[in-house]
Amino acid sequence: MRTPETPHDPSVIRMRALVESVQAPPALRARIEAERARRASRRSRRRAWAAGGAVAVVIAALAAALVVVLAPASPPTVLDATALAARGPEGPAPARDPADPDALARSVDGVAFPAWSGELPWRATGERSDTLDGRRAATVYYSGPGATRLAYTIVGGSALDWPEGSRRTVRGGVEVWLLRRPGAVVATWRERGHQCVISGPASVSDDVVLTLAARAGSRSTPGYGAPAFD
Amino acid sequence: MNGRLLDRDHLGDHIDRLFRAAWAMCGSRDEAEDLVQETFVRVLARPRRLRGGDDLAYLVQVLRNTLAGRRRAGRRGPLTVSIADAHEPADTGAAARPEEMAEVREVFSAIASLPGDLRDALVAVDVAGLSYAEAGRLLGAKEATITTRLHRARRHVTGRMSTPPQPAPMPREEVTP
Repeated sequence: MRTPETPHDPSVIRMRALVESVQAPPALRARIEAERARRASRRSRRRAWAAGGAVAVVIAALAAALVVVLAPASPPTVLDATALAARGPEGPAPARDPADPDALARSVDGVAFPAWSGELPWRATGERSDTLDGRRAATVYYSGPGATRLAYTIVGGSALDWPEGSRRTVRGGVEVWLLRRPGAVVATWRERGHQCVISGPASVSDDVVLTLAARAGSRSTPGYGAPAFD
Repeated sequence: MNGRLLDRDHLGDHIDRLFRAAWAMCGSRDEAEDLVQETFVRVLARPRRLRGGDDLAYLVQVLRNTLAGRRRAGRRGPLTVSIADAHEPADTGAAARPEEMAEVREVFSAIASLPGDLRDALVAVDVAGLSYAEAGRLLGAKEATITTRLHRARRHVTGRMSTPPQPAPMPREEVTP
């Protein structure tokens, strides 16, 4: 049992009280709990596999199934990230970063979301936070002309693979991969080694998503200026 | 094998303390969120056997290592004001009032700006809630050293804190002779 030392100085007591008034954000708590549950589920599957060794006769049949179940999970994909984003916002939009007027006060692994409303007709309207295979995946939603809503997702950790069937384009010095699916458009690029994804309805033109992606991506691409927005 | 396994089912009990410790170490609420998540993902990746100390002390150690690793890898992003500062007052429990939230930010900023040894001692004892002995083991220092560092760190931080508002003096009663 922990017995923390108790200070007597009123200033120190107040400092401690202020510190202890802070609680972890609920979204962080939820992500950690999801990760713990995922790991626990994986462990229980492994135990089930070990117990299965006693049933020698059916091992051959079970083994194939278990191999499938226990095989290393395939890495998350860009489309997994867009599926999370499609769930919609959980809270209000982040505020503008007072230290950087071009960014919102929300970032993943040092990659901040852009604040476009001053220069482009896209205004942050909401956000959500998820875990994607143990990585943090934060999404900010932007509303633009005609009340069109785009989701901008940054996935923590190493970069994801480019989505199958996507088309490579270089806009403003930024390598952007564009994918059109039934009802949706997806553009993805990398900033500081992390995967960024814009997804929206199919009514949004390629040019709009490419321009937004390039504008965002050019922040971390030395030697290139921001492309003009058409 | 010596030691016992980390209790993974009750790790959630330590999230608040870890989050406070992370914020106090790095000075950014946003980065603290990343740090704590990364710490838990690391810890959960495989069974952990503890050699002395308890779960919290172990988690603080992993948190420190994670932060050091991020600093070495240059992953420290720009310091930003967390979304929580502006939009998630419920995260801060009692600190939901704006003036108290400002004080909270002031305290964490003061702790984060301490010299490393002083900051580590204060984070271990006053923020994470470790005993002097646990803090000494964590930081590789004698308890007496922890006591000295803690005293200096507290003096720095409380010296930077705003004076809390004093209650208005009670009006004196008029006494008629």
